Formats: sequence, structure tokens, C-alpha cells
Amino acid sequence: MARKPTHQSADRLGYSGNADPAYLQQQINSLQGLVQSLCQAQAVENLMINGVEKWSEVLAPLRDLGPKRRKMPDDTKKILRAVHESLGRPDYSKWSLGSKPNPLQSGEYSA
Amino acid sequence: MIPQLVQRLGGRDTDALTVLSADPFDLILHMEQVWDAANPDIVSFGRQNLWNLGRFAPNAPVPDGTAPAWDHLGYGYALENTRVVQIFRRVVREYRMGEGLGIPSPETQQWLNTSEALLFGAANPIASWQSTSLVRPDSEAVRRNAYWRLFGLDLAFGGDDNNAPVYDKANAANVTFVGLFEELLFELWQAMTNERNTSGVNNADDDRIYRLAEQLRFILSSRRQANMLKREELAAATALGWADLTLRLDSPLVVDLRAQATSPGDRLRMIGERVGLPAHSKSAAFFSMAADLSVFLRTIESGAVAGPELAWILYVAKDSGDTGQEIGNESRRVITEWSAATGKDLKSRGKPVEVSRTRLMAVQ
Repeated sequence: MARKPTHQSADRLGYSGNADPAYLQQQINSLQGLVQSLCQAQAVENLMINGVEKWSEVLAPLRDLGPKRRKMPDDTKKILRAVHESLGRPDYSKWSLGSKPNPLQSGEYSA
Repeated sequence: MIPQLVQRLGGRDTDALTVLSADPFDLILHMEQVWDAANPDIVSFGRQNLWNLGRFAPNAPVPDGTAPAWDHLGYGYALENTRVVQIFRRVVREYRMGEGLGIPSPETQQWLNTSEALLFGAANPIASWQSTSLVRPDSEAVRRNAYWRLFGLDLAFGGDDNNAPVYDKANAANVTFVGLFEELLFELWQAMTNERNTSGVNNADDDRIYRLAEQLRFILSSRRQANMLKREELAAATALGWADLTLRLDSPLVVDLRAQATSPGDRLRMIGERVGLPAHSKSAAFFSMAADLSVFLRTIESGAVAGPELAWILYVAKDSGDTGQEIGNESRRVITEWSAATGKDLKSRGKPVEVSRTRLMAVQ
């Protein structure tokens, strides 16, 4: 035998005389899903209306969490250029397998 | 010093052969010029006039005192681990003491003269910067001492007879170098793999890279106060540069020993087999890494990475950077080859690199 509703909210839910807890839980879950999908639609709609740029501004502070760089100062460029130039060496790959024959074997070189 | 001289001559293989066939006295005079260029405050007119008599005097580096025109000691360490010096010692001995290796050509005999002067202390009008004397007569022991002090590392092998090496092991040594260095390489690899990461978790940590680089610079500089180890570094760069150049092409020695190949590692392996002393099994990795390791360590020591905001200098590739001075290419090569040489996978790990392991793999 079905139980009577205990308060008015049951009427608003379209109470049809079934107060089974499992049935009520199913109704609540259904409503929760509806609200969630509405919220997501609102977020997408918001993004479409306001554009990505506004969201970029909102999220800008998060960029500080990433690595920050600055351009290489002139004195640093000078230091690194000196390192590279002082250690310059030939391109050996053109020697061992290169385009020209070995000068020893071709007779180009003589002591 | 030797590869840089070839580059200043034009960088061709014929220039390499010009250097390989040079008189040892010319090379030693040039060595003095390179030393003076890196120490412009020390002026001696008599010495400078003497140095200018050499064949390579017009090719001397421009004196500026900021970056010496020879490779970092790390270059010498990497190449010496191939065992090239000990193998060449046996080659010289075999050629000088008999005809077991055949009759050397005139070019090879010239190479023997220079090798004995640059590597093994033969008498010359001016003694080369071998950093040796009656107090420390063995140049290999001097280099081992320098490697120990600067990197806290020994070579991966003993003496020529495989006995434990005998040299003065200084108390003041950078025994933390390997731990810091490998930690830095790991962080650099993380930054490289995240360089183009626009979504997802970014593991690049510029602040840590900076701190590790700074710490490395501190410990390296602490061994170099008042130009300490500078002369030893030039001696090592010259000796190993000579050996390096000999194996970079089918030089007269390589041809005479019938060790023609397409890579220095293979040439060394075959020469080692001729004289009964095997080269390091990871020689290819050492040859491939040596020059880039030199640039990498020089950059660290230069102090160019002056803050976390400049850590990118160490991992951005040269062709994708905005100045062309970044050393990402060199760093990548060092990471790959150091991993191959040591057997440690620096590209992926679940815990920090083992700091206590200071030795490279033994010769196999």
C-alpha cells in the first residue's frame, strides 16, 4: 500500500502516490543531470558571447606559473660569441665521408 | 688548440694534413702564442718576437683574455677515456724500437717526431707546455691529477699494464661534480621535451636549471682561482687535440697502419688491435661528445646563465633561438653521449640521479 506524501514539495515534483526512496533518488539524479547540462551550456554560451580574449585575461595570472624568459642581454651575447669563436673547429663530417676524395690517396697532398 | 688551429687555417682536410705534417717546433711556438693570447696582461717582447718566427704565427688567435682558444679540460677527459694516448704510446714505441708495424712513411715519421714532442716529452728547443718537470715527470699522471681535481673523476682504466694508476690525488677535488652535472642534464632534457609544449603539464624548471648551473660554475671556479689548472688544461687540450686530429681522417699514420675507416672510433679500435691494447668500447660516444662537452662546460663557467630567466640558453636549439648563440644543440649531444658512455639513462628516471657513483664504466 502506497504511503501519503509528507510535505508539499512532493506535489511539486508531480507526486503520483509513489514515495519509494529509490524512485525519489532517481528523480533527484535526473534533475541534477538537467542542472549540470544547463550550467555547461551556459559556460559555452558565455565563451561564445564574450570571446576567448576575455577568458585569456581572466586566466592571465596563471601564466606566471610557467617559466619566464627574457631576451639575451648584449654582454651575454658577447660572452657566448667569444666561447663559440674560441672553440671553432672544422666540420669533420665533410672529411671522413665527404664529397672530395682523400687527398692522400688522390696524390693532392705531399709532405 | 689543434682543431682550432686547423679551423683558422681554413678548416679543410688539407689543412689538417698541413698541421699533421708540421715540425713540432712550429707547433710548440704556436702553442706559446695561444697561451699568450689568453693571458694578454703578461707582456714579454722577447718571447713574443720568438713566437712570431713560427710557421703558424699569422694564424694566432686574437688576444682578448675572455675565452681561451683551446678546449676545456672536459674535452681532454672525454677523449683520454678512449685510451688513445696509451695506444699511441705503444704505436710510437713499436715504430721506434723495431719494424713490427712495418716501415713508416716519411709523413708518419714526421708524425712520430711531433707526437713524441707534444705527448711524450721529447727534447725540443723549447719544452712544450706539458706541465711536467722532475717533480711530476709523467704527463698522463699530471692530466689524471687535473681531472680528479676539476671533476672528481678518474679515467676508466689503469696504466698501460692495467695496474692501478699512480698519481697525486689532491684533497681539494670536485667530488660532487658528477651528481650536479647529471642532474643538470636531466633537467635540461625535461626542458627540451617541453620546449614546444603548449598544453598539458610542463616539467621544465628554469629555476632549478639555473641553480644547478650556478652550483657547477661555483665548484669549477673554485679549482681555477688565480688561473690554477690553466696551463695543465692547455697541455691536455694540445695532447688530446693532436690525437683527435690524427684519427679524424685517414691520416698518414692511419694509412700506414691499415686502419682506414669512416669514424675516429673505428680507426682507434683497429690501431688498438694492431698494438694489442683495446680501445674503450664506448669510444664512439666519447669522440662524438668531446667537442660539445667543451662548449657546454665553457658556457657554464662563463657565467652566461646569470639567472633563471636566461636558463633557456642551455636548452634552446641554435637554429630556433633568436641570437644564434644558444647551446641547445651541444647540450642535447652531451646528454645523449654521456648516457651512452656511462650507461645511465638521463632522459627518464623515477628518482634523482645517483650522486655517489663517480666512475665511468670500466673498459670492456
